[in-house]
Amino acid sequence: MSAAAGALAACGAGSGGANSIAVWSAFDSNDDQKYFQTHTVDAYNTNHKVKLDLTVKPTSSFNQLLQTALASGRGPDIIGSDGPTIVVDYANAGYLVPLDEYSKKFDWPAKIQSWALETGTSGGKLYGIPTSYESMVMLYNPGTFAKYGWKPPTTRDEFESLCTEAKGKGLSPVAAGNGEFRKATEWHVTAMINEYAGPDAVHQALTGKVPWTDPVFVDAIALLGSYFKKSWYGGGSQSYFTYKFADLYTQLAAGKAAMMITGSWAFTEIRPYFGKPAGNDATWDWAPVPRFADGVPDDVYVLAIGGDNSINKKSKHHADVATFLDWSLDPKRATAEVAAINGQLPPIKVAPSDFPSSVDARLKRFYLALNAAKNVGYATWSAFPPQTDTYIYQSMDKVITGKMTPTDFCSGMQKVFAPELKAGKVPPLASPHSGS
Amino acid sequence: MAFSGGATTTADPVTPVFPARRADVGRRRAKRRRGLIAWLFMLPLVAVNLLVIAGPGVMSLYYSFTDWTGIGAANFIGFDNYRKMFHDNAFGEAFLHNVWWTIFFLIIPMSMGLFGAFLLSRLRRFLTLFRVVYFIPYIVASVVSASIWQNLLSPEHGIGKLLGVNFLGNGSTALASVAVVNTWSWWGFLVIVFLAAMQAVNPSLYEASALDGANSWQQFWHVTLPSIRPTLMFLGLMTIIWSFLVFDYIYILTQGGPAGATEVLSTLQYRDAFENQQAGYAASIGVVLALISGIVVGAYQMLRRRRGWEI
Repeated sequence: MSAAAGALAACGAGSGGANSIAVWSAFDSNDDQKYFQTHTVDAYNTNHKVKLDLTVKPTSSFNQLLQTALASGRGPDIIGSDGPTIVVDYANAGYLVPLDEYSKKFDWPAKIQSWALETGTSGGKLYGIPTSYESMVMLYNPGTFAKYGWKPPTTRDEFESLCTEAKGKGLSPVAAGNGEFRKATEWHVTAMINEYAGPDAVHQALTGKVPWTDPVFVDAIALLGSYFKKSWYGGGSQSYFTYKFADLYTQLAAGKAAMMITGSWAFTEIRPYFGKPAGNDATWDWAPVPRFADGVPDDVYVLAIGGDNSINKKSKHHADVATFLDWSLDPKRATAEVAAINGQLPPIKVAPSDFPSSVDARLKRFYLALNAAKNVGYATWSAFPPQTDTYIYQSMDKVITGKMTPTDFCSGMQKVFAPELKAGKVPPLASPHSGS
Repeated sequence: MAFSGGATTTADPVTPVFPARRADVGRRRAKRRRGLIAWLFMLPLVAVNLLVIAGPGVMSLYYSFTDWTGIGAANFIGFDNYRKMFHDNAFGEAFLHNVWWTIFFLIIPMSMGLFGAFLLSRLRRFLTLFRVVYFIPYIVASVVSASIWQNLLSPEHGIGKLLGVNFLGNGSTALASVAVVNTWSWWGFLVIVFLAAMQAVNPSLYEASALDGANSWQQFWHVTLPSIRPTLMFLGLMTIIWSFLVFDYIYILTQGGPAGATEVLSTLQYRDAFENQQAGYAASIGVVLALISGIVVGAYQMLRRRRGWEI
């Protein structure tokens, strides 16, 4: 999610000249910017008549700048957004061009994973092409696991016994904290409701077929709350609210924490804390988040869109922008970015042979696992409407501190969610079994 | 002028009026010209204010009566946003935190500022040095001082670890901790302003009170405080207004957490506008904040008129 604001490609609409498409982008680092300039802008411009013209915008105000430009009838040719929720809003505001014609022309259903393509629709029309996707994972230090003879847990029983043992040995069972990013709490809610209630139940709740007050969700929140109470997550409420990401990665690298449940964007962030850059010999690896209840499929992957690209209705280059969108879906180009800067892959269909040999094997394994996933979980920041999303992380903090019960949490969530569902604020949802 | 008028009255009952009228007209013209020149100088400032304050202010007022999400069209919904505030627990909690913050800043930093300034006013040497030392925290960017304090208070490697207290991570200590950090950067400014006011107090008042046998405390209470009352009132007024606008330290240190323990109206407004897609509701919170400031200023003006207190 944090990386969603990263290499966000969007092209400058009315501002582009007759033979240029002005691109608005925001970057997390200079290296990312350099890579984008060389391997996207320059590479595209070499072989295309209508060229990209890059303008770098600040990450922190990118969305506000874009929304202001769009509201005044201007804005970039390609509208880059944080995901399906915003795509729906932009489409409803009349800012976007339907992409169905281009989807047919370029055969995007054959190139993009079906669940991802579904999330870019509004009112039966396609408006957004996903630029990145992410999932929840469990990070661990293989050295620590080898030292204590542990294996990555796959079930609740295994997870709880590992937590008990780790705590007994003086380790933090799960490195967690939201001191730097309050929303981080929703990652744990996302992991828990999908791995306890299961994607089917979450899908039913998101489509209004069952309420969030259903006991399965109350139990999921209660279980998560109990893990905090036992100080398994981030040392409990006494320290969880002040731990920053650097603290968590350091704990993991130093063998002071057993696991870390986080988003796949961590693959990029974690690197400075392990191995040569950190001056230690620690390594990291990932495993799927364990199942927290029987009956939940064992290959559930929360799949969240990190960003979307759409075409500005005011653009004079609809067809040219569509050509660029199609160009950006090339598997070889996308996997080369993963190998070079640990960039995030768009949810395109990739084969193992598409990855260059220099790619990090852990990342390759991750993306191939996502490609093969048959059961799709739902991320609160990507598949939930905005007020419900905010409610989740703010109120879960209250459950953690004991100011709110799981039952009150779920009834409050239902109260916030119901009007948003009625108002059509729930973004397009992939089927829980749509996989790739 | 009177002589000239008197001399001409006998010759022509009309003509004597002309020189006086001409002078009057000339004065008016000069006055108008001066006014015009003043307005010409003011114009850029007025234009900027219209552009960045009045314009957005009017737009905020308009959007506060709509369901605007921040994207696309806004629909008029009357007073719904304002009605919603009365039932919004988050708003109520944030408002109470602002009230707590105001009381804290009216008492603690103001007392520290007064006391510090009084002590400094007694110094005869190193006064400039102390002024600079006290003022430095105020000129350090809030993001810098907040980050320094975040590390100082850290439960991992700071004072928090030493004392076994998670100052910013515990709901019962977080708001007070942020207030203390903000006080650190703020009270030096108060010292300097109070010191300047104290140095303007007529020294003969202190001499007279000393002759009457007043001790330092009595001098402070009966001479210093009444003499700097306009400054005290002004800073009190600004403290109330700023306390309802506080944002930076809270957002940097706790982002309103943990579990809403440090949420204030401005952080709530930010969240509603940019995370909840409730730009209309956020605008109504902004209007309420402006109203609170307006009420404070109005009350101050009323006091000034009735009791003669001046800024």
